[in-house]
Amino acid sequence: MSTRISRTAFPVRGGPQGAPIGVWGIWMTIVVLGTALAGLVVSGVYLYWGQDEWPPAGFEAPVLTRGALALALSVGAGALVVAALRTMRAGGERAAGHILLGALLAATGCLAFLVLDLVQAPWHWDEHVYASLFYVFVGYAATFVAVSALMIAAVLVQRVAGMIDTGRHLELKVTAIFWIHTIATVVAAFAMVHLLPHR
Amino acid sequence: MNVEEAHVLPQRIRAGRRRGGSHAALLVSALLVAGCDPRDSMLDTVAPQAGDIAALWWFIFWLGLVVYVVVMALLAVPLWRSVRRRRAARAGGDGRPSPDDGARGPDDPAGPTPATAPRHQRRAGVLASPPAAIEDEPLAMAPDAERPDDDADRRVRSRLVWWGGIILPAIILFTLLVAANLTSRSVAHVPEDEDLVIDVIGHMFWWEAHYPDFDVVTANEIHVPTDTRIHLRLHTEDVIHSFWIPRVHGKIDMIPGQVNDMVFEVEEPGRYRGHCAEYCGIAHAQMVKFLVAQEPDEFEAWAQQQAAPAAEPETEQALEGQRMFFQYGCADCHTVTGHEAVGGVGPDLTHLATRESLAAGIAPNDREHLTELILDPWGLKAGNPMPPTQIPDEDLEPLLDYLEGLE
Amino acid sequence: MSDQPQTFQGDQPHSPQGVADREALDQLWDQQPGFTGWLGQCNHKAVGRRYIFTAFVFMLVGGAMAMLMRTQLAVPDNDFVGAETFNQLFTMHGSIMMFLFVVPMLKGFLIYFMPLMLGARDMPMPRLNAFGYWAFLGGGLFLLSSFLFGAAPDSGWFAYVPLTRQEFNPGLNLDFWLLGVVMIEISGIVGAIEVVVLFFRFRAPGMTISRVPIFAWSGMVASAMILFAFPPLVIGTLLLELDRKIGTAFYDAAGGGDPLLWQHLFWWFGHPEVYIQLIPALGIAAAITSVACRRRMAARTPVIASVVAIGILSFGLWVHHMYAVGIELLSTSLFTAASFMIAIPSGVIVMAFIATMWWGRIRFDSSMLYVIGFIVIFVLGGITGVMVAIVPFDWQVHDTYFIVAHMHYVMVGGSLFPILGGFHHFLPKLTGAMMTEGLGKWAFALNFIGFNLAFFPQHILGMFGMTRRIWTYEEGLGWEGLNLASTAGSYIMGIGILLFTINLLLAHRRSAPRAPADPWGGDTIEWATDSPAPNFNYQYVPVVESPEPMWDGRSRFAEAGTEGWAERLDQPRRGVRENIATTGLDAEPDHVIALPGHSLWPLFLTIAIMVFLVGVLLDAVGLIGIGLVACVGCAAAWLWPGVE
Repeated sequence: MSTRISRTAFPVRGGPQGAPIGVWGIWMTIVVLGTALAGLVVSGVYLYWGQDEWPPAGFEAPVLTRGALALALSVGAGALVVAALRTMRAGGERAAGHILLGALLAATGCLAFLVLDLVQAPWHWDEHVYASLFYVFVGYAATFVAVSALMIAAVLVQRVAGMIDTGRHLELKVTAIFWIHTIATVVAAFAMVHLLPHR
Repeated sequence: MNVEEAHVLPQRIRAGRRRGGSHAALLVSALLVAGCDPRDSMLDTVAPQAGDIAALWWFIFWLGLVVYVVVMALLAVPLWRSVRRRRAARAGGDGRPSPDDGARGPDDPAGPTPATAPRHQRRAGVLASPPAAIEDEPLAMAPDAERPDDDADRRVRSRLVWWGGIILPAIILFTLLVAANLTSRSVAHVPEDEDLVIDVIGHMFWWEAHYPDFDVVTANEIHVPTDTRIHLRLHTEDVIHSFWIPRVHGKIDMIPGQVNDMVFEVEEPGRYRGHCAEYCGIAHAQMVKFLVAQEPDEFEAWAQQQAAPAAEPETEQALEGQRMFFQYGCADCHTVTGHEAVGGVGPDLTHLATRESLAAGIAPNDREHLTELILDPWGLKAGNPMPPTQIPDEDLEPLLDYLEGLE
Repeated sequence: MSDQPQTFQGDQPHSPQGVADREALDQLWDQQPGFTGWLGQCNHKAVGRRYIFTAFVFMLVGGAMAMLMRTQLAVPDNDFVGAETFNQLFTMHGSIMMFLFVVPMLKGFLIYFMPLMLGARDMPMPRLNAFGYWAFLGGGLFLLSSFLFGAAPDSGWFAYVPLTRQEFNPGLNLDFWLLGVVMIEISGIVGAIEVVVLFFRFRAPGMTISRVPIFAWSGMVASAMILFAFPPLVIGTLLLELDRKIGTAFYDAAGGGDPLLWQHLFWWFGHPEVYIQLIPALGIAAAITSVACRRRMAARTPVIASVVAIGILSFGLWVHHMYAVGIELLSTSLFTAASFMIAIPSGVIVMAFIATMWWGRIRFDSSMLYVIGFIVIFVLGGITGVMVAIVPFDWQVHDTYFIVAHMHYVMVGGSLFPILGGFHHFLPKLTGAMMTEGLGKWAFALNFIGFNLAFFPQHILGMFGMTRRIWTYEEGLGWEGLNLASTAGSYIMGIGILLFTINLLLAHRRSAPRAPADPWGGDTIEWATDSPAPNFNYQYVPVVESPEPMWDGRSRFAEAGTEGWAERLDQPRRGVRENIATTGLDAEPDHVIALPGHSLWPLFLTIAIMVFLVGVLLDAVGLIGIGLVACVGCAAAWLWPGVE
């Protein structure tokens, strides 16, 4: 029997070099959700191309400031989560908790503006595909902002309960990565609602 | 390729089509023997468009057949060799591969087979020894790199994969691509101003045809003159349907919100049948239309006759029937021009009696089927949007007389 | 021992300590006691077996539907089932075979065998894996339950709008379809995530990327395709459900929408889906071929490259399902060229199969017969596939029985036959049973003859003008003889599948002989462990030196006590299920991770989602609310640190 030892067989190096499986999982999730978002955006652009007029006659565009504020707040919340992750890594467990609280507030604010946008839309979704697209994009973004806000809240609770700390904070890292997609949905909603050239 | 060649190729394909005619005859006669007489084969063409496609078919058919036969032959060689070697090995009686069988690996291990070995030996020992059933197999298992005498083997493998998998397919596919594009161009739907325009509208589950040049509206039987370019504008009233007459041209869908064009030219007079080709709901199977090709002067006469308002009822009974037509609500859906019936939902009945079929081409236009269609539309065609009507016999007979008088 | 050709050291303990460790491992990786223990299993073997069993049952249901349809079409003007039922049957036959049989069946094979082939003890995220199964089961039952309410989907497995919008389909039929399909797609996506991560992180030490078996490569490629193919369809179904339920206008031409958008989204999914069903089946066929020919797969690297190429190219072909919708000729011609391109990697793969057989002395087991049948059938389907990629020819045969024939040649030849062969080949490792060769060969013969008799005439029928999805036809169209032959063929194939099922059941009777660890002389490491695979897969970590570790004479199990990580894995001291994660390309041992072994939360989450879906189905706002809250609760409980 051969006893030649493979170069690749060992040893386990000093510590884990590759990303934890949970991080692989969340990146895969983002690939999937990103594809879905891309599908939605392409569908929206396809429908936009099929129109003679945009927005169609009699449809006023929704308020720009609300969308812009929601966008700013979502980016802010994402940035705060990343900041919390960095602080946590650097050992500032309490400070990370505070930053997370800020992120939660920003996310809630973003959600509030998106919902306000939906509630105060000047037309109903069944009137024209223009309105349908507005509702589905803003609604889609609001759904993911809500989910991400829930994730921040859960991490915050875990932080307060002392379940995550400098040594073990996979949940926080996962939340931070997930915010990439959340911001992308808000950006997509903003672009589809406000940035498509009128014709 | 240069332009000249591009012109030559379609002719070659057309020439192939004439030859294809004899293949078609061969196939058709073979199938006749088998009891099949296709009424509407896409190979039995009456239009140059379908003809070009049929020619393309015979080209790709023979090419495909050659490719298939070659691949199957390549597959048959190793199968046959294996069968032969196994027979030889069995005849040899020692259960070992004969020296000429190409096996280069060591002979089978002589150890006990897993099925019979004692449990501990089976588990702790070498595991790859095969059970009795496969003992006579040569075990040529070492990776290629360790079998320097395997050059021939590797050459054959690499040739098979390179030539069979990449080079030849690429050449064949390129040839096909050229042929496909040439045919595409010759059968493309490019409307011109002088074409005869017909608007065909798909409904669940029937076809409506408008002739804007003649002010004619009809249903399910679309008359066209022969040797004239016909331009169909395809619309739909509800869901997606697809317009297809196999002997004339391929199918084009009718899609809400858009108008698709179809251009063809029929060379022989006749009645050509075609189903709806896109699934459109419960009665999709019974949505048939006929393309009726007539000599141009016959078509002209037909169109003039169709453009006229409906004939006045001639008998007392038929006049009574006209009253019934309104009383039982037929006129709510159906139009009879000149008789104040402007329903516009169901097929136009102005010249019903001139059509040969009923209910979108699924029944002959006679009194019996007309009765069934009126009393029990679902019996004739499940899913028919026409509601059943309760009509006592004394009212039905005049109604039928009236309808049969709509010439 | 020196004259032995193979020396893959058996995965067996050599010392009393080793025997004790083995027992402890067995217990550690076993299910928890009781019914909840059984329900809460997350191990890949339990989940994989469930997938395979459930998908097999769905296949029998879908096959029975096909027989009913063929009976209806046997003679003209038949009244056997009627229009309404027939439309439900063809819709559900397609949906079941696509969503509930082929993909989950192959996924079951991947989930069961990929960890074994790669030398892992479980999937990287066992609970997510279990969730994938429950979602598949839930979605499947949801879809089938529509029959109980007389509201089975009836608009085709392609569900074209506007026929599927509320105005033309006011019943619940389409809602059952849309919601069930979304559930099944979620299941498909989570399973795909699992397989991709497994492929890159859970390979045995030494199994560098170039040494991964073709089966595992094909599994990874198909799963990666799922990640990009399924989400757009989820979006498409979401938009359609919104159109149906609240009246948005995405697909409504009158409201500025476009019915063709659905076709684009559907075929963006639908075309890769075909290859998602083909590629893992190719992997199974490759595994069978190299074992039955006693040769390593010819042109291994080109084959893997071809599989990857098919995976990528298949996303560029979706418009070839839409040649007749009025897209301009130039665009459609580009899709013709793209469709032709995919014939080249397919050709490489077929030639590699033939080349593998070329010098080998083939052992004609039932499994190998199915592979040969696969090549004979699939090549014909491929050739007709090239034909229908040509725009003008497709204008003639599109939506006719020619397509029905082509598609079954590709799907039955390319997926079903390798799956049936895979049962013969892999059953020892799956359940420890072996199917009888005699009965297996009879079943193969009936399936092969029946299939060809059923589907070859349909090519001709299509050219004779017989359109698809028709429940009846008139006499005198010249279709009678061919239809009758086709029906006869389907009965023969039905008997073949029945024999196969009987064979499968007989193999599991109490008195049936049990399979040895390596009945075929296999090449990959799953044949080194017991049949069926023990709870822990491998006691010792395999160290892999080539793509055919069982044959190379160098691969071995890591010896206990030589490495820290090996020791930790060999000896389950801490009572935690562990597996070694390796680096993505070189498969160097990276770290040891703990895996959960039991959780009911995936099941609860599935139930919560089902409550939500039923709420959407019935427009019950209360149920929707309860379902949503329950979903959030279950997800939180599942992911909460320390909760199992």
